[in-house]
Amino acid sequence: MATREAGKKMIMLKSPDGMEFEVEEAVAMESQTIRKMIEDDCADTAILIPNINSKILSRVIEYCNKHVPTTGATGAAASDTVAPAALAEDLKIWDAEFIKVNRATRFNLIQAASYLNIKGLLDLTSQTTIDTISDNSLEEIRSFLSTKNDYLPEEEQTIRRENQWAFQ
Amino acid sequence: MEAPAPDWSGLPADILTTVLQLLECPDLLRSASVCTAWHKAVSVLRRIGVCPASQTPYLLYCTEAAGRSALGMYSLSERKAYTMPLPEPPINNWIGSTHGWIVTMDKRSDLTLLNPITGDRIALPPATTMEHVKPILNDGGVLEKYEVSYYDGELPRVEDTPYVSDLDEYGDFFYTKAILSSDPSKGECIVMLIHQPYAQLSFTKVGDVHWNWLKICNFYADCISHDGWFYAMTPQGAIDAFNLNGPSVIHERVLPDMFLFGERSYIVKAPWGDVLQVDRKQILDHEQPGGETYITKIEVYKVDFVEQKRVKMKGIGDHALFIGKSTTSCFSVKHHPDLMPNHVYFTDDHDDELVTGKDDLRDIGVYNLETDTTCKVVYPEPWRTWFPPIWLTPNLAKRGTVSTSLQYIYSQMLLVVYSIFNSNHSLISFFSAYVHNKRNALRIICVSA
Repeated sequence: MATREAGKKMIMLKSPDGMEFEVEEAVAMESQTIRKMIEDDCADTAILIPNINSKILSRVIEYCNKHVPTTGATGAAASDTVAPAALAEDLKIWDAEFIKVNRATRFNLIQAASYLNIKGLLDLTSQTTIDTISDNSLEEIRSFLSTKNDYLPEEEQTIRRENQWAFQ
Repeated sequence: MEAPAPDWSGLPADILTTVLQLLECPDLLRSASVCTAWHKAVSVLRRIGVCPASQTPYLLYCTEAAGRSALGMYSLSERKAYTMPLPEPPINNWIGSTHGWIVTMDKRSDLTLLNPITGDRIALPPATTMEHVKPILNDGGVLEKYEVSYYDGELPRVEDTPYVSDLDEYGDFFYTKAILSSDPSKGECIVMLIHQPYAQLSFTKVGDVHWNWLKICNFYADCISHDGWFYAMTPQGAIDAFNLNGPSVIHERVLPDMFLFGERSYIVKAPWGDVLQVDRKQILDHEQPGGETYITKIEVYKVDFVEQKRVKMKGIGDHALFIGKSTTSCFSVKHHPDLMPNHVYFTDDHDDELVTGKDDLRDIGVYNLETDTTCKVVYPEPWRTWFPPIWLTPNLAKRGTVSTSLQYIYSQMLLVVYSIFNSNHSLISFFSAYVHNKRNALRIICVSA
């Protein structure tokens, strides 16, 4: 994981399966949840992330590492700098590769992004999900997202009839 | 090998609503059919009325095939046409579209607000309550025609010979545009009407029984509503601000005449805060022989209220403008990636020509502000020429179910109270009163405080 660099404050993130990740504070603070803990002095040297396993947490840290503003001496100053267009384009391509994951991982990433309140990651995972919904039929959505159809047939018909035009 | 996929119907409700509210209207409505958990999430979204923010405009139009029983709806985001059934009674024309509601006209030229997605309707006061209209009854006492005055507000009042109009024809000729102050699904709403003679203003509040005429002696080309004020622009670019919320009307001229006379002009508040004026002209196309071909020319100006002038803009960057009979609006292409940046989406709103040439081709298209060229919205054009198409930004909120912020807080309070005292019915009904009537709620709070 992240190596210690001079002058940069490090934070330890722990997953419930016992793995520890040492990350720069600025990287961890991409998560608004962690930022709030640090700002409110609720964070000790190590923060336990209770419901995100090490596999997903490492992916989330990978995302935050890539997205933390790189210029500037400190995290606070860095967040004020705007990435130039070329950098933004690079990030877009990186994001597209990053989100090429199986459904289980995407499901866990979206939950992690929501819990840790990382807007960029939540937007990315949500957008990928709505692309699935927009481009496919109901049966395909259910199959792609392993969603169980728990309607009675007549119930489903009634709901469908209410907005039949949307199924054209 | 892929791990067994988790069941997405088990996604926590708050995350599910975050995802679903990014969907365009038809996708959201389809999602409700995926499973009961998703249906619940969609219902919550529709109840709290958060959907409209993410919707991309549609072009709403009549088709030959559907007649008056359905409307065509062309999605700019999916580039796809839908046919949506239209509940009775049939509509005769429309003169405005704001917050997902269209202002429709019936065969007596009476106006109704209609949300075509939910089917909700709100009747506005009848045409006979307008300052310039008197009913003409037949021998049996039945409304037969309207007598329309040409009074422009100048004193002393001098009446020219009034015009006698058929009931359905009155609205087609005399209504120019209607603008709403806010989403009527969420509560109070004021409707501003630009109407003939002389493009004057009248307004009504939803629930009132008559129209109120603003006796300002002026012509108006367009109007928008922002922060409780209406901003009406004259064809010379002057802007009058009106506050209609109190017992008396507050009127201020906030910008003087800017130019001699514009053909058609529009006013809009851009998302970045500036007020823009949009000029639309038909100019002779010199590249076509015969000198009879006209092309559209659109220019955008930024209003400088401090210097009291307007400055021509080179473009509108990552934004798209919508002009026509709908309320003039400006969308960020970042939030609506299927719209073309620096383009103006326009529909035909040339009042006289629309009515006298009901079969004429409609001037509808997308104008590129950089190259000054126009392309079609869709080809072949699926619409009937009468009545002419209008932009609609869908609103999925069912009327009467939407929580205003205050009501929302009380509904949350109710939930908490319910969980604590779920056996005490009198207490529950007491708090229910809070939720159902905001004003009463405030009164009760004042009394109990």
